[in-house]
Amino acid sequence: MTATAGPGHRLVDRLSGVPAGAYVLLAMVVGLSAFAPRFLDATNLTNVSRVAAVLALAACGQAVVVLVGGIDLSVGSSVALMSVVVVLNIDRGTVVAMTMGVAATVTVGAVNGLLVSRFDLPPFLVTLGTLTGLHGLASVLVGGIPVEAPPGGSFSWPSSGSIGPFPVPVVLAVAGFGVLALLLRGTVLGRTWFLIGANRRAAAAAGVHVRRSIFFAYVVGALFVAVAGVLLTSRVHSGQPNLFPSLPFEAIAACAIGGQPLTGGVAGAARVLIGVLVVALADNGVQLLDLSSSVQLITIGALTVLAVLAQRMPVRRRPTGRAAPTGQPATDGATLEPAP
Amino acid sequence: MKTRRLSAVLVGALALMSGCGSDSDGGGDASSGDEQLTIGFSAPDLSASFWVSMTYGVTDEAEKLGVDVVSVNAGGDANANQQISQLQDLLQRNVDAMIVGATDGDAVRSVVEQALGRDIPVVGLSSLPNTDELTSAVGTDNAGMGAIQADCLAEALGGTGKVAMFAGPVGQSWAEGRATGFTDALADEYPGLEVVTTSNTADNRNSALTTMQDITQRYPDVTGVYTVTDDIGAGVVDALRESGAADAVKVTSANFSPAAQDLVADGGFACIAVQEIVEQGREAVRQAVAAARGEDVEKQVVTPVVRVDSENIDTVDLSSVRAPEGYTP
Amino acid sequence: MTPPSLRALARNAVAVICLVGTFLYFSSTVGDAFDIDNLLNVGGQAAPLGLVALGQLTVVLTGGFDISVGSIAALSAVTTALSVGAVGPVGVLAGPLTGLACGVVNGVVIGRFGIQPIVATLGMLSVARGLATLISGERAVIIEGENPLADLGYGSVGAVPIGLLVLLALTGVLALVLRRLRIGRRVYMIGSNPDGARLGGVSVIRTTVFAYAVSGLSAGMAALFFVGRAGGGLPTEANGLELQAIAAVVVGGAALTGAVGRPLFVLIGALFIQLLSNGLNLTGTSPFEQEIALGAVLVAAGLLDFAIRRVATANNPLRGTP
Repeated sequence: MTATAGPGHRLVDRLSGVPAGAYVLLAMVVGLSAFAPRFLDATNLTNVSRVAAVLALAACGQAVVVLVGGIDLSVGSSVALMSVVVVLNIDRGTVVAMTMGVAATVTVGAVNGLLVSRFDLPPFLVTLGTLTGLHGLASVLVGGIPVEAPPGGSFSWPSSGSIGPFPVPVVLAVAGFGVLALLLRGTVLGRTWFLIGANRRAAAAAGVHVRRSIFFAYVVGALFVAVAGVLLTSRVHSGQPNLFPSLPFEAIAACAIGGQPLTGGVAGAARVLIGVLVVALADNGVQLLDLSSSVQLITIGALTVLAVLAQRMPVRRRPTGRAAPTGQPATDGATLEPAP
Repeated sequence: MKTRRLSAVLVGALALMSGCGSDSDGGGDASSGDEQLTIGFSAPDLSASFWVSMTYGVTDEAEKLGVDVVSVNAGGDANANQQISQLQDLLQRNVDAMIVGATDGDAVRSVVEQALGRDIPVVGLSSLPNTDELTSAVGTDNAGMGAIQADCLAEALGGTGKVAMFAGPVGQSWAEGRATGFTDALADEYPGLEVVTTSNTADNRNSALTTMQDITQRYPDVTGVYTVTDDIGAGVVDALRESGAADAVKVTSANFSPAAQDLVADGGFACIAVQEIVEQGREAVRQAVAAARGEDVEKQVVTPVVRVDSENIDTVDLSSVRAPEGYTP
Repeated sequence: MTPPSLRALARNAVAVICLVGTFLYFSSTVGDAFDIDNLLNVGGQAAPLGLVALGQLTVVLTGGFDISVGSIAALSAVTTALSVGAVGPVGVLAGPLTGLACGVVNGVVIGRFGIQPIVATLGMLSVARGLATLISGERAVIIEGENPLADLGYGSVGAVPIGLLVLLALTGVLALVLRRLRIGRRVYMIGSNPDGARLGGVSVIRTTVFAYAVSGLSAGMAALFFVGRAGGGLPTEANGLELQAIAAVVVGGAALTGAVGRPLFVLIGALFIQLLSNGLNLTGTSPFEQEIALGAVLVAAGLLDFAIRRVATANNPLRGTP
């Protein structure tokens, strides 16, 4: 059981198969169905799925960035800026305004990616800077107060409309997972991300355009975030500088709980899904169980750490006490295969 | 050669930082003669239309009276320590008077009393510093606003129903005043209305939306909602419209932002309690200037409140209520 | 080849340049309000940020970071206010003790159980904030009567604020600990080469716990300043403090990859950030514009670091990416 590096532990991982997050999720579903009133209500589940859809898209974006050993803290400010850009330009029509918003978000991703890949700046630092600066920018653009969007059908459609029997947010989230899985398994770019995340120097030696690939990771991540931004903007029907400040932390928690190591090199759509569901159900559960907001915070914090802890225990016992800094690629035996 | 490039980068960074300081707002001269007064205005937060309108009132009146204003804000209702630092900075700058809207009335008490001890008059505005020695307290009849909401909610619900309260930030006197006004009116006149849950943590539109959804889940028989400001109220209406319950649940709110105006017009809000926000800002400046000049000061100024609903919405005079369209602080 | 001392000098120069540059800029725009009194005032205001930045440095030296310090400070402020209310002035010990306890938990989770710093401190961020809100009953805990910490918040010795004196003293203490004590040198060791350190017999767990304990303790001590100034403990306080602390650490020349950084320059970095905020306040700049400025400063500091590294690499082809 005490495997260090090499294919041995991968075999154990494969055998134990399912990441621990899945068991946590299962336990939560069972527990909430039994003890939380109205958990299984159709309305409640629809609400949860709408909220989860936003988180899912943001987490997909985060997963891509984490795969190459990075992190993106600016996601919350990014969607806030997007909502502001959209509503300020709403008189050009909903579609045009939304497109401008998406362009703004992707630009942010490009800036982050450029600073990280071209200048080798630590992602934590760069996205911290963009987080702060963009929040200020979004606030300055609206003079501080939220800007209302005119009432109208097309604006609300992304958050309240349906395609067939399915709410639009759910459809978009499912599509997002599909795109993520496709990217990871079926594209050359995706494979380069795995290589870089596992061992950057080996990837470079193997001929991968490391800088370019990392740059695209941030841009693609931003695209996912942009779709989440569309949903959020549509939902609150306004431009809000303080739209969702905790979004990056929830996304990171979702990735970690789902079993994605924050050192990079491993990723999978299924893992993200599990993590997102755990976070969304935890949020919903504490509300339904009528726990105060402080207990909510405590529970989510503890849950995050415990889920990651459970994740690590049975599979691999690291040589004692290694403090693994994030932002550096893993160099110990993570394989180059996409994880299930 | 490399060192030259390095120094170029250093100079560039320095220039970048220099460029980031923006133009001064209200000039940098300390008062040289008796005429040119400088008033310091410390607001808790400029991301709510309430304080933006307040700031408009303050700065516009200051311009009329020919005094300078140094305007700072703490960037959030929770940032008490930041506001304390800002008040210290204003003291440092030797302003002739201060106007303070507190992040937390108790937290700023010490530094306000220090200012008063140095003979700098302090006017409390809406969210009052918790000290008896305030030069003047300018506000509105918050209890009256709460009562107005109670009146119209009772009307809309026909006298009976379960009510949820979004009562606003703890530690700010205006929010507490309104909540008390509401609950007192319920106790005295509308015993058929029962408050089943209160939220103090929902503080913006998005969090109000999510909280309202959860409240609907936990208390499906809630038919009325009291919201302390229109940003919060808008979030509640968003949630109700998303779930299709907008007709069954009545929402009341306060303040008259453009969003609130729309919501009264289209039925989202049953009514709103409106206060003269801009006028309060103006009054605060008048009192501050009077105090700085050694003239008579009114210890307490209370501006009137009015109920606005679909019937009188077109006839309300907005100039004393909120900042003009397109104003940015 | 660029000697290491020149590289270090360039790194540390960033903080000094920022501080001096800001001072010069604002004294030309704001005028006579920007005098020595004001600077001392700012020094006193910088105490909480400075303390937390020093703690953050210790953690960053090991290659990690601690985003929970703001929440730990809030929790410590609440426990301090409650303790003083219950048992009188001796209750001020509750602040540092709370901070220390939280820090030790962080250190154990990261060091012993191998959870990554961002996950562990993210969890602590939520838990500490939740606890603060819970035990305070969601409102500020005001100290009735005499506030034993009022002098800490507002007092001065002559013209020098007590906060500034405490900050200077603790900077010196940390510098001594990191340089002279074995545990301090080990902090640098596990930052630069954890495997090597372990092979050399260094207990990585104990050193990690020490580093995060220092960070937690510093947050607990910063809380004493909050309570001193506000007259009580606010559970909502210090939101975003950790981000400012990391900014101070980066401007102060520490490398986020670990093993590089010195307390004196982190102190200068913290003073710079506080001075920047003070100056922008005095010129009436909105906090939103201040945020943009802070974001730009962070990125600029990083770019400066890049430039320095480029110079180092160019002069020494054997040195790869740090």
